[in-house]
Amino acid sequence: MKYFAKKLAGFIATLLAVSFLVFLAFAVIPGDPATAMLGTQATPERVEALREEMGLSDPLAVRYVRWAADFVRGDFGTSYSYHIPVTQMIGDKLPVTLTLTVLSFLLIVCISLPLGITCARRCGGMLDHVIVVANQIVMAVPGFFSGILLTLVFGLILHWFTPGGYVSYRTDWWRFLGYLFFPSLAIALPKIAMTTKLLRTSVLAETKLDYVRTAYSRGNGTKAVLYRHVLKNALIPVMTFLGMALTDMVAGSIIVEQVFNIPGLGRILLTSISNRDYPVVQAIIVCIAFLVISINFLVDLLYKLVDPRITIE
Amino acid sequence: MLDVIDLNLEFHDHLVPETVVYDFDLHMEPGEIVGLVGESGSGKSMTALAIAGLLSRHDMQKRGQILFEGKDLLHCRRSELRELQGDDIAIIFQEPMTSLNPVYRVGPQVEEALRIHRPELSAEEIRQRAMEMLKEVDLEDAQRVYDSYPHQLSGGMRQRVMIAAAMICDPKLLIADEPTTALDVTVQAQIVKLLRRINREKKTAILFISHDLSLIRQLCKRVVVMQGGNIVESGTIEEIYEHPRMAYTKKLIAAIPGYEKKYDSGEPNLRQNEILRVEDVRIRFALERHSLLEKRKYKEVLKGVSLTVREGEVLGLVGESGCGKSTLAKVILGLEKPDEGSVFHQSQRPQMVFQDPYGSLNPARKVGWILEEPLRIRGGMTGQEKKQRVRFMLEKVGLEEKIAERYPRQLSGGQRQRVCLAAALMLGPRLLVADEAVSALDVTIQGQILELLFSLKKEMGLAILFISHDMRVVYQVSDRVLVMKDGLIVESGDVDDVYFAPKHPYTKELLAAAALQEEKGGERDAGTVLS
Repeated sequence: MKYFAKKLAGFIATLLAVSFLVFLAFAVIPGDPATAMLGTQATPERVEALREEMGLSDPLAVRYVRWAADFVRGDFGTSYSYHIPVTQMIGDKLPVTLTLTVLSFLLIVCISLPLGITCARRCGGMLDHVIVVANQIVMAVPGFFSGILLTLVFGLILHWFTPGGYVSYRTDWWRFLGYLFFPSLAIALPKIAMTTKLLRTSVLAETKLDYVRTAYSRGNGTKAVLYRHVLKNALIPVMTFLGMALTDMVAGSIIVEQVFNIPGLGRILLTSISNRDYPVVQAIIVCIAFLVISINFLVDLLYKLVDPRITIE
Repeated sequence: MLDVIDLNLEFHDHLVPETVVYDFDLHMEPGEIVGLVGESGSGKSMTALAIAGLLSRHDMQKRGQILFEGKDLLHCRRSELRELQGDDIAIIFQEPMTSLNPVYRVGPQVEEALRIHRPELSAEEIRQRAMEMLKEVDLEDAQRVYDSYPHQLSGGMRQRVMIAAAMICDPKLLIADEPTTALDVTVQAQIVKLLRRINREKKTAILFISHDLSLIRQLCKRVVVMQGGNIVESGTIEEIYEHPRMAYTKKLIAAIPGYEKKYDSGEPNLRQNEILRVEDVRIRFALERHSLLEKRKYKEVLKGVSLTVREGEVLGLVGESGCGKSTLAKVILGLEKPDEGSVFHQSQRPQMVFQDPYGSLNPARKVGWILEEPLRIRGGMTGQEKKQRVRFMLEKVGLEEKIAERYPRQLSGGQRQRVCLAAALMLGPRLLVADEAVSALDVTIQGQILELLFSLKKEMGLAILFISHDMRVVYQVSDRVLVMKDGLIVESGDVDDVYFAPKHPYTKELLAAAALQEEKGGERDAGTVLS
């Protein structure tokens, strides 16, 4: 409980710090939002009036508090370029990116855990060698490239899905998931390879430890030793890695969304950056930061569950 | 009950097969305690693992027979072997910390063998039995131990937990592989006492494996001596200890640190110059707070320690783990700043030799590089001069010149400790702090290193602060001795005074645990020494 409270306090503090940094970054960036909204031809009087209206001339701290308070209420401001609330713009894109990330994560867990365990159990065997070599290859291919390959093979040659034929989750939830399967796989593949390799190494290292010998001495069979004793220990480093991978995937999805033509957060982020649409960019960055910090928080909590030795300094 | 006949163990993972155990024979009756003694690499642990059925390496060739109640464990099916493991044959190991699974509570680990071998018992019956077992191994607060994780217990408690887990199915044979080596002397004595009681009350036969001859002597009726995979000699305790036939056995017995001064320290009282003075040093560490509002609590590790070391003398410092002796060493070396009190050095800073010669040398660097390091840091020497100094030092510690081109992993434990010693002496210090410097070494190697330490001391006029938990070694080497407990020096004085007329009860306890009293009295009764 104490552990939880401390972690929660850290979580909130990090969130505040990140939001302030994001705000600060956009406050000092050259280029005036009022000018950006009105265009370069606008008269100085009109720009000044708009600045006044947007509250841009208030002190930094006041603006931050106002912005943060709006943020907490769910008001992310209004897009400069589209003149609609940012909430509305992001609202239906966020689920797409989240689904993509969660789907890739599930793929990683469901594929790499059995693979890693199999490799470790048959260490040195034919199957192990094949998987290890395949791993090396997959690991070397970045997500967007395997995305292109997957589109080519499963989309254009095998016709398992229609490239560019994105279906919104509002129309058909199942076809939406079906379309996201290959993009998720593209994001997941390198991570699957890394997780498999890490788990294999971790299980093999654990197997050499003394407590495994003790487990055998009590009459456990190989399987019982692996699943009852080794696995929980071996998963500790894998968990750390998965936590980092998950945060990395939120970012990685932005590129893969481009390759597969998916209207997710990544798409609007890119267009908003080139339009200097600061409220949108700000909102997306804070959302991503929030996701990353939450994931880290959850991983920390999971840690405590799996490894009782953990205490905080 | 147990008959091992012509056991041969061979590794096949190198080009040339390497035999680790040759033609090993052993016969054990029910309820008997047999000792298996030898130094590291003698094959004693391999033999123990083979008997426990724990050598399943594919690249290992096993020949001969291990008959347990008529069944050949080497050639029976795995499932048949598993039925015996944990039920009739149980084993405990040297390191109770690593031998327990760190991520599970103690209770389920104690119960495990029972769950495997008595599936007919209900969860509640199994729990009951585990609690009884924890109480039987003298763990008073059984419920708390049951709910603890291994890292929350002390070393002695962990080993008791291991014993409880091993004994839960009432095995006929308990194999104890160096079960007390990692423990403090007083705890060691308690564990030995517990094993003896288990043997008496439950009639469990015990195969006790150790490198410690005096321990074997206290516990066993019969003993087998191994060296380099061979049985050198075997017989009753009296035969082996009173009339050893083989040269190796004689050497081992002679190497038992005894109650005699082996190392003449010259004339310590002629030169009285103080080389180090520690005055009323206190040091405390902050404990973790339970809430932000709570006042921060501190644990005092050193509660006002004063000592002086005079030129050319050996000052022994004994105490058990956690008493603060290593912290004191760090304070003297300047690695830890005291909260109160002061440390005065005459001349330059002292150098240190650590316990673990494996861990304290950088594995990625060659010995020559490691030895040159202090010279590099001090500066002012050409490459040629440094090399010369390294050669000189290597010769001093009895190593060949070519060792400089080797990596630490290519050296034996004794060689590594010599390298550590050479590194400490590179800058010609006046005071050497040896923190458990020989504790990790085999007895015969221990003797060699001590001898080297003392010839160097005489030659260079070194003063040594010799920190150890081993009462016997400290007696052998020291002129004066300090006894430390819970951050305080409870007794100090001339080594003979402290050892022959101890005043503080803790000193007496330590001496009793080290079984020194017994050897001093000249008569021996294995049954009563520790009870």
